[in-house]
Amino acid sequence: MSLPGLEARLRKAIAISTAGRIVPWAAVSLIAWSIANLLFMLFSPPATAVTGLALFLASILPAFAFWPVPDDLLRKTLREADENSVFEALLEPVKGPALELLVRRAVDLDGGLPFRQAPRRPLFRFSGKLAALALFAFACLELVSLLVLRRPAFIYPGPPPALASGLRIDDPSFPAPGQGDGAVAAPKETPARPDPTSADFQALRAKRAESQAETDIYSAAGNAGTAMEKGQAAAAPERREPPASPSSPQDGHSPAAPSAGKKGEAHNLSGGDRGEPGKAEGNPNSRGFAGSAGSLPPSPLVDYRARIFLALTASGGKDVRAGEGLDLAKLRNYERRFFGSFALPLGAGPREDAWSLLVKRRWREGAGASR
Amino acid sequence: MRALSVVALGGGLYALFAIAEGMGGLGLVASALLEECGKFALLVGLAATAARKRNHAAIAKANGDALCLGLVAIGLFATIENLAYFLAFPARDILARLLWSEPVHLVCGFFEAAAAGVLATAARRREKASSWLRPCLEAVSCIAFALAWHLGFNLLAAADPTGPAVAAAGLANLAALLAGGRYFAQRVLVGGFLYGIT
Repeated sequence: MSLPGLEARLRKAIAISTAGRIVPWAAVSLIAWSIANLLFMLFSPPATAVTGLALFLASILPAFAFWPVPDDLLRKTLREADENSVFEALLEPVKGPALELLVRRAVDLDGGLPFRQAPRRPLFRFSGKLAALALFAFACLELVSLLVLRRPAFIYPGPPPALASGLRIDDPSFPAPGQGDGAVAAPKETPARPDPTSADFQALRAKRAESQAETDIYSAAGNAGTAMEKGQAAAAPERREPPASPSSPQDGHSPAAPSAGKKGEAHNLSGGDRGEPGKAEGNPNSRGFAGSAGSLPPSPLVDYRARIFLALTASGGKDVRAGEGLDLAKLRNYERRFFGSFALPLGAGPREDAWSLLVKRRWREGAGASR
Repeated sequence: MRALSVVALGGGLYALFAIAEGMGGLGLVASALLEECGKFALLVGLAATAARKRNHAAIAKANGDALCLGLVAIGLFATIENLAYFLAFPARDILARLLWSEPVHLVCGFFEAAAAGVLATAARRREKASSWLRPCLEAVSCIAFALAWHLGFNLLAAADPTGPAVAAAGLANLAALLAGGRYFAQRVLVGGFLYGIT
């Protein structure tokens, strides 16, 4: 004896009950996700921690779904489909002549079940306490993300990259001292204190002074570039005056300042050691100077610029070197002479081809010289 | 209390398999056989605990509840296995186990739970020897399908499948999960409730 109609209704009730377990699973997962990401934001573990958390929360869904069905679910479903308690009577261990009659009535009732609408059941059972707890946990997560990350976040983004923390990255592309022409020392190791009487030490002192002046020049030029064009260059050299203290802030944007977190070191590089300019050149142990016994500047930007000027100095010679007495007027003159060599004043009109004019001019000059 | 018991069962299952596979250096076939035998033994043991009830309705309900708890324990075993793999390979690719390994364990669990329920019902009915043939055939078929399903996915994983193959396997797992769930609900939960031990 089988009752397919009743079996189908009971299976449907079990399926609805199982599907409804997703709601408590989602609430518990949201609570666990919020608390875990909140802790991640505070303690900065690797970003893979989020993957592990997602894997765990997704893996425990079957534990919620396959939990035993409620005790009264099947009996309540049966009673809703039962008329005159036929099915329920059949569940009892009945024996005797009434059994055959009971079975026949049950089969007839079961045959009509597909044509009778089953009472609707809510798919999800809403738990107010669990939902409130989930929302509270989520609110705590957003609060912590606003405090730590300065923006709302649902997922822990991972630890900050190494560059922002000021770690030095050694560049092996720069050759070691003595390798090739105009080589710039690769700052892989802190060089030993040089012999003050040696030519190398004198060259290093000169390079250190150039780096120092170059840093100052850029900090002033970047701010007063427009003012110089308007004839305010007289005020610009005052920016080279050493600040009263190493920690005094610099004006405007300074390419020497690497990042917000390292302004103190930038000040030491560009301002602090220039508190006594006469002594800075003679102090090989000043931090950040090439050849010094101290650590090299942590900012890759300052280091790059210092290397560029060292390379220019080594290859260009005295004319390119920025000495102690270099002022902005001399720098402008240098720039004009350097970039002016690229210019060819042809006096070409707006619709004339500059290349053709140049060729014609060179031809005239050559033809005139040959006569 | 039931939750703690289930967690302990899932953790114990994982520890047992980890020790056995670590000792023996088992291959794909042997590890699948070991895991499915272990899961089936767990389910049969849980089904046997339902015999202590008094009346048939209570026995049927206890049988269904015990096997459901066994499925939860298998799900927790799969969760612990996922976390162990994640600790060994901490990358986003590990999330593919949600479409591959865990559904395989659950599909096998459904069919083995149905087999355990059928055998437990036949035992409680104190069937005659000749009447055991059908329940035994049904149980053996379920266990054989579970073993073949697990072994097939192990061999497929050894072949290093690509993205479409993984997606297809996920769909196959989902279909098998629905089919296995329906079969378990029909044979154990509904069948036990309606037809029970009488």
